[in-house]
Amino acid sequence: MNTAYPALTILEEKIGQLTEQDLEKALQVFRHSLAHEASAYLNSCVHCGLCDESCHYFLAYGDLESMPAYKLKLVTDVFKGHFSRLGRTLPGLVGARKLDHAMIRAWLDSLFGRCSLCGRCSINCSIGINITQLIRAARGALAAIGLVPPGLQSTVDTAMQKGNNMGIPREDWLETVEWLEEELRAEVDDPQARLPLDESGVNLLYTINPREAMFFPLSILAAAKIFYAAKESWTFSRDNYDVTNYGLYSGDDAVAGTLSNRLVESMNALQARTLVLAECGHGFNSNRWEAPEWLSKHYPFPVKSVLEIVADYIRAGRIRLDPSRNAKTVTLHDPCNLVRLGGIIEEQRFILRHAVADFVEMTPNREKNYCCGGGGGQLAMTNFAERRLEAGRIKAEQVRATGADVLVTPCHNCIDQFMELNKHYQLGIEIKTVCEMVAEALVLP
Amino acid sequence: MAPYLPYAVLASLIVCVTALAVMVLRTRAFGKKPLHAAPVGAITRGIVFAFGTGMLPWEKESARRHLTTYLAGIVYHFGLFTAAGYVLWRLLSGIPSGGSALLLALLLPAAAAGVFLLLKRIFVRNMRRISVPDDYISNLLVTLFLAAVVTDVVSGAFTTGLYVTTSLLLLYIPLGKIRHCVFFFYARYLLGRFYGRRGTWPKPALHEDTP
Repeated sequence: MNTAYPALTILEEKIGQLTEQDLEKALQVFRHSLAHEASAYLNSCVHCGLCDESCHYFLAYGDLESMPAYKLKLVTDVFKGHFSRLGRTLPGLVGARKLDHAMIRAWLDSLFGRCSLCGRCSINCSIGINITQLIRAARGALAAIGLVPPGLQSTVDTAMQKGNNMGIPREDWLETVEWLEEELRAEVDDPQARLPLDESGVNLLYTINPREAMFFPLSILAAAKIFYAAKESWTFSRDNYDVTNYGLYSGDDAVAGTLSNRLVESMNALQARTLVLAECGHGFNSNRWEAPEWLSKHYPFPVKSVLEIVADYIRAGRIRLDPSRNAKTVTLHDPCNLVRLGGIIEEQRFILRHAVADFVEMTPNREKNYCCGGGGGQLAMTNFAERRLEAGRIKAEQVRATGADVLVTPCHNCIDQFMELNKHYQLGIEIKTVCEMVAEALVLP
Repeated sequence: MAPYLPYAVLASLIVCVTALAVMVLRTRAFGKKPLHAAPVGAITRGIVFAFGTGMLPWEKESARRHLTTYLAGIVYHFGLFTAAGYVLWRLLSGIPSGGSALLLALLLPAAAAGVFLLLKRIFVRNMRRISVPDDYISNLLVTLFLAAVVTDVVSGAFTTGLYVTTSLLLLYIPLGKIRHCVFFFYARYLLGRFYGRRGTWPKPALHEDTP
C-alpha cells in the first residue's frame, strides 16, 4: 500500500477491478458528452508541441506527461480508437488506441493529476483546440465509473449530501450569520445593520464559498459591509448559499447541474432579481457559464460576480473609497475560471485602482495569467499535492517579481493555494480578497 | 508526360474534397448542443480576433516562445499555398514558370522549413514521443510536393513527377493530419466563438471612471 497517498492505492484497486462493461460505460459517457465542437477539436491536433510551455505543470517538470499536447493525445487516441472509422481501420497510422486499464491509468495521472483545467493551453494552441473542454469530457468518463480521485469525489459527495462542500450544518451557518451581523453592527456603529436571511423580493441573492464561513468569515463581513454602505437590498439563503461546484472538476455534468440548480431554486423561491456570486473562480464559471448548459435552460435572471456589483457601486457613487487606507503595494492574481474562462477581466482592476494606493500588475496578467495551481480540483486531490506545489512555482516567482506586500485574488481556491505557496516559497505576502480591500477603504457616511 | 496525369490530379482533388466534406458532415453528426448562458461579448469579434491578432506572436505566448518554429510554420504554409497555386496554373495553362525567381524565393525556404520541422520532430525527445507515423508521412509528403514544384519551376520539365506527387498528397490529405486544412478553420472558429461570447476575446475596453 502507498502509505504516503492511500488515495493512490484506492484508485489502483478500483482500476484493477474494472470490467469490460465498466470500460464500455466510460466510453458511452465520453461519447455522449461530445457534440460537433468536441468532435472537430478531436480531429484537429497536428502535434506541433507549441503548447508545452503554456502549461505550469510542464514549466515545473518539463516531462512528456505534463505537455498539453500529450494530455490531449491521450483523449484523441481513444476517440480515434473507438469513434473514428479511419482510427479503427488504420490505428497504427494515426495513433488510435483502445480505452483499456493502462489508458485509464494514464488518464487519471495526467488528466486529473497534471491539469488544473485552467485553459491556458487552449488560447496558446496553434490550431485553436479547446483542450480544457476535452480533458473535462474525459474526466466525466472516469467519473462515470467511479474513478474520480477520492479527495475530489468526497468534496462533491459532501456538497450533494449536506448542501455545501464543507458539510456545514444549518445551525452553524445561521449562528455564523448571526455573529457576523453583530460584528457588522459594531463595525459600522449602526444597530440596524443586517445580514439578511431568506428575504423575498430583494435585489441580490448573495452566495459564498463555504470556506468563508468556516475559515474566512471576515471576507463575508467585508461583502456585507460593502452592501451596507451601498444601501443594497440583498439576502443570503438559509440553505442554498454555496457558490462552489466541484462537479465542474469531476466532470460529472448531472451532479454539477444538481448543485447549481439549488441556487436557481433559491432565486425562484425568494424572487430575487440578480444572483450574485462571491469571489470564487470556479463558482463563477460553473454558475454563470456552465450551469445553464448542464441544466439546458435559459436563466430568467442575471448572474453576476460580486466584482461587477462593486464596480457598479463605485461608478454610480454608491460607495466612497479612500485608497490611502490601503497604503501597501498590492498585486492581483487573475483566477483562470473568473478571467480567462469567465470574462471578468477589468472589473477587479477598476476596483483596486479606487481602493488601494499602489497597485502593480504581475506579468503576464489578465487572460494570459498563469494558474496558481489550485484549480481543477487540485486542492481537494491530496494525492497530487506535491505536484500542485511544484506547479505553483511559476506563480510564486511572478508574485515575488512584483515586490508587492499584498496579493489580492478574487477566488478562495486561489487563496488556499497562495497560503501554501506563501509558506512553501517564503513569499512573505499578505493574501486578501478584493472585497476585503474595498471594505478596508470604505468611507462610511 | 502521360496524358491522363492531369486527370489523375483532378480525380485526386475530387476524392480529397469529397472525403473532407464527408468528415465535416460526420463531425456535424455528433450533434449540436444549443447554448443557454447569456453571452456578454461580441461573438463575431471573438472569431475575428481568433483568426487575426490572436495568432500573432505579441498576443500569443506559444508563438513568441517558439518563434523559430512559428516562423518556419508560416513560411512552410505560405510556400504550400504558393505551390498549390502553381500546380493549378500548370494544369490550366500547361506552361512551366521558366525559373521564376519570385516563385523560388517562396518555395525554397518553404521546403527548407519543412525539413527543419521534420528534423525537429525526429530529434527533440518530447516531440518524437507525441508523434505518430502520420506526423512524419504528412511532413514528408508536403515537403516532397514542395521539392517537386521547385524542380519543375527550375527545369520546366518535371511534369510527371509534379502531378504524381500532387495526386499522392491530395489522396493522403483526408487520411492524416493535413486535414487540418479544413479543421483548423473549424476549430479556430469555435474557439473564437467560445471566448468571444464570454467576453474574453478580444480584450474588453477599460472601464471609464464615470459616475
